[in-house]
Amino acid sequence: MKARTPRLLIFLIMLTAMTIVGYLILKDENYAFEKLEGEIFSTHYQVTYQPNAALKLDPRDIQSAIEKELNRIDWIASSWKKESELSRYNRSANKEEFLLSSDLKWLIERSREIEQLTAGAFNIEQDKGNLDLSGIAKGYAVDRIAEYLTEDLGIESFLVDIGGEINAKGINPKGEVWNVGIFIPPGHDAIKSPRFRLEDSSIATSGRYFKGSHITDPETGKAVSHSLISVSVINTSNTNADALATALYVMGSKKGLTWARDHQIRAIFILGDGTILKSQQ
Amino acid sequence: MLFVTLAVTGLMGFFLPFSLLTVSVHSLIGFVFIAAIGFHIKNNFRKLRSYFSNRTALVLLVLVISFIAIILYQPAPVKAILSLSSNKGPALDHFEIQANRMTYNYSPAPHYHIQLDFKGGSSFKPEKPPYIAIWIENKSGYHIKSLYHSEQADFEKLLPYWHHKRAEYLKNKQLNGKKKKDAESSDDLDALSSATDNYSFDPKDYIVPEDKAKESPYRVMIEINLSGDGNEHYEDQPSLVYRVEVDNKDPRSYQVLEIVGFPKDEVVDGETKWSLYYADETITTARDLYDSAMLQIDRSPASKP
Repeated sequence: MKARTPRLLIFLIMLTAMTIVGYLILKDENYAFEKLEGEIFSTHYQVTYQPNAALKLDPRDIQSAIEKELNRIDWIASSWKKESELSRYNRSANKEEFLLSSDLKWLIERSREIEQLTAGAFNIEQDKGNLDLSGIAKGYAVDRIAEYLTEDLGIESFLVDIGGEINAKGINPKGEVWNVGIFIPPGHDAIKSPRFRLEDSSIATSGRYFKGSHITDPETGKAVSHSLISVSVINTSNTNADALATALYVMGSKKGLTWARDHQIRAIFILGDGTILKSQQ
Repeated sequence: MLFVTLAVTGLMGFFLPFSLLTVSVHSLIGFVFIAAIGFHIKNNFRKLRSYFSNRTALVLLVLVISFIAIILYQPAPVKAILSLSSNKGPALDHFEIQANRMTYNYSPAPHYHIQLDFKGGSSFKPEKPPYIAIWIENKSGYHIKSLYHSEQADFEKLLPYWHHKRAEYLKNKQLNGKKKKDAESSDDLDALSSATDNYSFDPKDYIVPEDKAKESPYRVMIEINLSGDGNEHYEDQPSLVYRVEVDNKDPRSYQVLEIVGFPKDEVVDGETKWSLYYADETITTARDLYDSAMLQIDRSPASKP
C-alpha cells in the first residue's frame, strides 16, 4: 500500500501534465494564424488569417493572389501611375466614349453617391475635372481582399490592414474578437488611443498628422485647416468607411459629428486638445 | 620606400572608400617613381638592353602589355574583381563655385546623372557666394530628399522655405517610426487604424526606381539667398525659390529652372505655415544672382558623372 501511493501520484501528475501539454498543443493548433505582409500603394499591408484546414493552401500562394489583386486595383485606380486606367481616363479627350472597367465604373459611381450624401464634403473631382480616387481606393482594396478570403478561401477569421485601413472578421490568435486602436501622432502623447472590438467590421481613419494636409476642402480648394487630428469611421464596408472618414474630416468635428449622428454613422473624432468625440457609444 | 608607399596607397585605394588624400599621395609618389625609373633606365641602359635580348624578358614584356590591355578593356572576370573594391569613386554629389558660375552634380546611380548649372548674374560674387539649398519634392509638394545645402548657417533665417520643408519631412519620418513602434509594442492590440498619405517618401521611387512602372514625376527645388542684400524695399531681400518638374520618361533632358516666388510665413490655428509669393519688382538684385539656371539629366546607360 505504501509503495502504491507514490506510483499513483506519479501517474496522476503525468496524466495532468500530458493533459495540459495536449491542451496547449491543440489550443495552438486551433488558433494557428498565418501573417502575410508587404508593400502596396506606397504603404504597408498586413493580412493575418486562420487558414482553412480543409483547403490546406500554401500561404505563399495566398500572398501571391492577394498581391495580384492589390496590384490590379492599383493599375485601375492609381492617380500616381501615368498608365493606370484612371490616369488614361483623366487624359482622354472624350470621357463619355472611354470604356470603363467594372471596378472603375463602380468606384466612380459609389464616390458620386457618397458625394451627394455628404453634400460635396467627399469629392473625387480635382482641378481641371480630373478624378482622384485616393480617398476611396484603399478602402475598396481592403474590401476586395476580405471578400477573397471569405468567399474564395472560406476563411472565417482574419484581419486585413492596408496602411491603417482595417477589416476584421472572426477571432484573433488569442481566440478573442479583434482589438483595434486609433493611432495618436507624436506631440499628442497625453491622448489615450481609443480602442475597439472589431467583429465582422471595418475601420478607416482620415486625418492630418503633420503640417501640409493632403485633404483638400472641395469648397475652397485649399488644404483643410482645423484642430481635428483624425476622424475614424467604423462600418461594415471599408470603402464606405474610407470615403466617409475623409468627408467627416473635411466637415470638421462640429458639423461632422451632427452629420454622423443624423446618418447613424459610427465615427470617432480626435481633437488636438485631446477631446475624443463619438457619434455613437 | 617609394615602392612601399605606392603599394600601400594602392591597396588603400582598392580596399578603403574613396579618399582624395590617398589618391593624391598615390599619384604624386607615382610621378616620383616614374622619374626614378627614368634615371634607372638612363644609368643602366646597357645592362637593360642585354636583358631585352633575352627571350624570357620579351615574353614578360608581352605579358605585362597584355595585362594592362585586359585591365583597360575590363572583361567580366576583371570587373568582378574590381567590384570587390570598397572604393566606389568620388562622392555621389559635388558642388562647385567658379568665377562666374555654380555647378551641382549628383549621380545616384551609374546610369543617372543630374547637373544643375547656374550661370552667375550681376549680383553673383564667387568670393561671397549665396546660401543655397537643393532638394527634391514629389508632385504634392512634399520634401523627399535634400540633395545639397550650404554649410553651417542659420537656415531658419536664410533658407526658411527649405528649412520648413525639411523639418516637416523629418517629423513625418519620426511619425512613421512611431506608428510602427506603437503597433509593435502594444500586446493587447491587433492593429492600429491611421490615416495614410497617398504618396511615397522614398527617393528611389522617384529618381531611380527599381520598377520602371513605378516611376513618378518629381520636382527639383532650389532656394537661394544672398545675405545682406538690402534694397529700398527690404532691409535684407528674401530668399527666392526656383523649381523644375522632372519626368523620367525622357532619357536626356535640358530644362530651365523657373522662379516660383519668395517664401513668407503666416500663423494659422497656432501653426506656422510657409507659402510662396509672387516675386514682384520690390525684389531687385536678388533676381540677378544668376543669369540662367539649367537642369540637365542624363539617364542613358553610358552616362558618367
